[in-house]
Amino acid sequence: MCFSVIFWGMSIFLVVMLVHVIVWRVFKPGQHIANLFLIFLIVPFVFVVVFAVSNIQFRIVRISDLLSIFLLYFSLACVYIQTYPAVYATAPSLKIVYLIKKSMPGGLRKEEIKNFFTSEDLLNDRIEDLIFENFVYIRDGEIRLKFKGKLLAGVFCAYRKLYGFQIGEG
Amino acid sequence: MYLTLIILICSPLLLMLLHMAVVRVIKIFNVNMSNQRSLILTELFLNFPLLVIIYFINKTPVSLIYGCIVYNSLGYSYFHFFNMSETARRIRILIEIKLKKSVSFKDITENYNCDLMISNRLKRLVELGQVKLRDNKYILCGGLLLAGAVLIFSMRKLLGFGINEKER
Repeated sequence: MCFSVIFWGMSIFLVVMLVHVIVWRVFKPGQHIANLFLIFLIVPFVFVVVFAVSNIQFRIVRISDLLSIFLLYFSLACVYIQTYPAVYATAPSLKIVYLIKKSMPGGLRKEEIKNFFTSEDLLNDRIEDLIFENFVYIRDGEIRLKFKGKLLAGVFCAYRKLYGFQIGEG
Repeated sequence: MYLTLIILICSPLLLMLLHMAVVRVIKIFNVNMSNQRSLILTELFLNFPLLVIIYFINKTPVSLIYGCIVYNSLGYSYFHFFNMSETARRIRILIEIKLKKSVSFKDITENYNCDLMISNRLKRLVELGQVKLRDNKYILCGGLLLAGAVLIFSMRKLLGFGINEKER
């Protein structure tokens, strides 16, 4: 393995990141996560497949180097995709830390911290997100799961069972 | 080379299995440690055996740097996946609806009141060693989440989001 693998993996990530920032600043796409997957995973994956096929004929890079570059790019893309929800919805824990930092050296009482949050911030917006992204729908005043929602809830229930946690605990 | 890639691709699975074992050991010995903290420690610990193996396979410092970046990036991503199952409100709401088939807004707001959610998060931040309670006030004592918070707010600015409003 040579250093160029690390260089290309990181460079491709930075280029895709730049595209993402431009798209977000210009268009502000509706379904954030779907578009994020498209920009960071689906388009680069198609590109790699096309490149790998053409590489068979032209032998531009070794296949092991191509895979190494893609794995490095993929791992960096995963880091960004997993961090993005906190960027977009401002995770309450990070907001709390940020507020305490701004109040230093005095610190904040629990009541003071609570004043910065409303149930609308913490809950209503999340339910609206779930409706907007087709995970749930409302019928007769009741919130119900759509197929996507059932699938995601099922995955996380199974995952927590593997850990031996009770469902809903956490 | 291919063996290194296979090891790195499998590393999140390895991390998950090891963490599952750690969580069970913690439960048996009744150790006071949050699941997130145990995952961070497990992730850091797993660096040593994995990087030693990668170095002995390739015998180059570049492979060590490569392995370190890829493993820790995938480990960080796994941490977020696990954290989602623990704290993400959207996931908890989905699971609650799945268990009850359907829920009303009233049911949800009763279960997820603002006070309880903030209290739970403060408790978790204390357990993670990021804040501590002194004279009935919360003060900062760790830099990890603060660095994360600064990064997040910088990213919001870069992407053109407002500081407070949520964007869709």
